[in-house]
Amino acid sequence: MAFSNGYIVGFATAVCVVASLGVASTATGLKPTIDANKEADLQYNILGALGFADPAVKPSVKEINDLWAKHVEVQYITPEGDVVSTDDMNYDLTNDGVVNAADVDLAWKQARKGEVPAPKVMAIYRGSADGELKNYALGLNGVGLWGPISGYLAIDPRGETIQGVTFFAPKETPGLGAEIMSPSFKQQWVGKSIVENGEPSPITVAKGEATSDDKVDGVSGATLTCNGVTDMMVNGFEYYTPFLNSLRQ
Amino acid sequence: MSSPATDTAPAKAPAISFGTKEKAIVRDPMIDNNPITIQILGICSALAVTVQIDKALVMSAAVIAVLCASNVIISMLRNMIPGSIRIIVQLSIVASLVIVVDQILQAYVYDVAKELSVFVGLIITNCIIMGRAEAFAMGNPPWQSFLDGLGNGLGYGIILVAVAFFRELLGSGSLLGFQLIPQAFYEMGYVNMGLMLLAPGAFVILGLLVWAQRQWTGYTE
Repeated sequence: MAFSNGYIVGFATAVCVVASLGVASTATGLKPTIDANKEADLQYNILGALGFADPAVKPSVKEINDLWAKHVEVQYITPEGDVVSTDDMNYDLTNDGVVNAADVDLAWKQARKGEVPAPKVMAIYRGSADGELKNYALGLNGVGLWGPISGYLAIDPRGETIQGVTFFAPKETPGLGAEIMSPSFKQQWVGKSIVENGEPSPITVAKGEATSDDKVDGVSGATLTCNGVTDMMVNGFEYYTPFLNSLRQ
Repeated sequence: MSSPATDTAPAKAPAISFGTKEKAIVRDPMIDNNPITIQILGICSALAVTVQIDKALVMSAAVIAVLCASNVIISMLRNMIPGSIRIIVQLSIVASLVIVVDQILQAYVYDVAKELSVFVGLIITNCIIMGRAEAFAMGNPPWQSFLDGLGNGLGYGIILVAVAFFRELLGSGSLLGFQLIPQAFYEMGYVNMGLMLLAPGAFVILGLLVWAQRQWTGYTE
């Protein structure tokens, strides 16, 4: 069938217009729901580390928001350990705990070049139940084998022991690197002391079985991901040391 | 069996009916002319999203939805699409549908969508969809095209779930997330098969399925 050039141009234009309208209206219409999902997912990770949500069964978005409102309060600190006001900065929850400096992808890109970004302002999540401060969750960013990894470390109010941890490693190999998200790996961190000789000291991942108290067992076949977790802990402690020291005073 | 019988079916059937021919349109791509095991199309996602059954199911549903919708839309436009730009028109339609499906998954099954990540977007490049648009929808009415999309989508989904069944069972000892192999087995020294979690494991399973399926239907190239 022969079509005139005018018809072809007109048809192509019509297809483009209709397709873009369809895509744009769906994306705009669903954006609030998707954003709510993303935010609830982040809140759920933090609630899981703090011990206020069951890590095995994910509640609905509304339940997560309720738990969040009930138990968690966000605070911002500088790397020097000073609490800062939220009024004069860009508050963005999707930056994975570390605000304005080290979003996950940025950490990944810079790490590929051998640089580790220093955050300017960090978010600290205060977990409380019945008005009593129970613990703090600290956001961590790092680099796994295939892509960015992140996590939250829950510590007691005196900054001495780990109460819980969550890891997020979407790009790591299922069954190997992704095992850092498994309950058995995470359980090892609970109760570990993060103070050594009066100084905050990170817990690291051993290659194979842990030989000392400041290590956890590694995942066999996932050495590079585990090294990434170790680096994430060591770097994170560098940023949080002044804050952890202030807790113990 | 050298060429799919459905591709040359005359386009003069009544608007909506479900006779022998329509049944064949749905059934053929599920078994005799399966897009994965016979035509060896859509292999990339068959390897990538088959570590667990639930992901394979959602991926199959997404592909079925896109394939049916794109076949119907392209079939309705088939006499209006200029031949010189037909591929790019098909591509625009498929790409738009995929983005819509991706957004819907992110809004309603966020956790699965997060794990499927780029593979939903990559449905655009799935050869099955462009292949059915070009080979069937451009020459057949909407109802038959819908059935063709459904049949091919189901054929794709069956293989995906079958591969995922073996990979999840052997690789993680679970099905649909429920632990099937009891803890006692692990304590006695049973170890999950790590190979099944990696792409080579999927290749092995897929190869065995292709072999079994061709034995069964007697298909030869």
